[in-house]
Amino acid sequence: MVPAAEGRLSLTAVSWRVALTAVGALLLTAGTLWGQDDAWPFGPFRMYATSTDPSGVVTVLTLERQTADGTWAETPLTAENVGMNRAEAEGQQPRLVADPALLARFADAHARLHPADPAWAAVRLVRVATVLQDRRPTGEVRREVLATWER
Amino acid sequence: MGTVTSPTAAPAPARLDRARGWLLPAVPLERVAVFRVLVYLFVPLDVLLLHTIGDTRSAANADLYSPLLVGRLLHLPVPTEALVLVCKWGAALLALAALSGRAPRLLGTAVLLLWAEYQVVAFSYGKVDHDRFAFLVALAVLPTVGRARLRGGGPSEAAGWALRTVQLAVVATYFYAAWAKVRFGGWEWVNSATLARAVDRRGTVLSEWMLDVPWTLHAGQWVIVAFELLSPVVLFVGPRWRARIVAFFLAFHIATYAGTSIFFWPHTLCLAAFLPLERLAPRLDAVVRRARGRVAGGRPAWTSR
Repeated sequence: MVPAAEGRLSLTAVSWRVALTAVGALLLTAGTLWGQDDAWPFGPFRMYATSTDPSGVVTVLTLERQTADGTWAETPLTAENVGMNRAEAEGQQPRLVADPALLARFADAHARLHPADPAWAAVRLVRVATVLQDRRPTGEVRREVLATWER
Repeated sequence: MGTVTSPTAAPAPARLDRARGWLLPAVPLERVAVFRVLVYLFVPLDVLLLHTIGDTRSAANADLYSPLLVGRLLHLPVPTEALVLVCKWGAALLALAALSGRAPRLLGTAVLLLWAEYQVVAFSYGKVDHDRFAFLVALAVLPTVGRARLRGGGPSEAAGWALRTVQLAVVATYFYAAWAKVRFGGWEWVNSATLARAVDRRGTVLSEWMLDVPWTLHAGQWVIVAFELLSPVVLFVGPRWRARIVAFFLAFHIATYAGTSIFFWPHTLCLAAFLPLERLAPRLDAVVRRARGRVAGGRPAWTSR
């Protein structure tokens, strides 16, 4: 028999700790098997978990804005600039493409976060694809406008 | 424990004891006291400097709000500026208060809830970060330890369980990340161009040359999956190998940072849960005492007792 040593927990204290560990493990396992990102904190740890075709394309979402004089220029897709960052815009890409009016929120957020800047006349979402051949960039870059919003 | 038992036919109580000794090892209370200092020092650093994306939420507008499951289940509010500020500053200030070791359950629980809600706000706009699970677990289990001083603690199963749980969360992050790669990318993930994508998107001067030497990134993918699948080994080895494996984990995160400027800050901090932190306790205790002495010396009588 082990003597009741210093720092030893009661049966109740051990039981709920074991139960809590088991429940946490079950939730995380279920999330990893069937969950999506929105199951946080029990969702799958899917950082860079998709496969990229070695001779396919690497895509990056970028944001462009039009100033009063009509010129388009890339603007950082960051939370400090438009309230959302690139990964988030990519996460919501289907929604943004289906409803380009949502791009107005980027212009609004920019106006709120940078009141001194001139207001944007229009915003568009551009997908930039770098073409790979055997895991090596070929130098070819394709740009495709996915959605446009005008004031 | 005094009776002789063969490992193959250990009677049930002996096996239970061994399982208990593994999940709830009696470790020095000072170890968890030092870990707690690291965790509660990190909270303000995290919400004020490293991961402040929640701040811009009220600007992002409710139209782009895309709530997490937990937000839908608990009917959490659409973030407003006030909510964000309360969570951010509440977590930071209460974590500093929790550093004192006073009211560990109350302050610890408050920090957990405020920090967690700040993360929920940050993650409710289309992107979830995967470096925060172990740290969330650390915030959740620390209050269960109760009082833990930097000096004179003795062995404690409660402390052992808290640290073991953080270790399990760290290992789960690696092991289940491999699982997610198989689930979403298929076994061909190891032969895909995913690291080339990572470097193309987020490369640094230290990694961009690798795009021209594609086998390096290809080999890196095999190394990542192998180490993620083997990571549970760290839970079953002695102190020397444990330290070596933890050093490897750390090296992996530093290499990731050098190559893509992505650093798993809160997760990396939780690697400390594997180490004999009690060795730092006397020095940390001296620092705390000196700081407290200075505060008491420079302040009017109401602070002294």
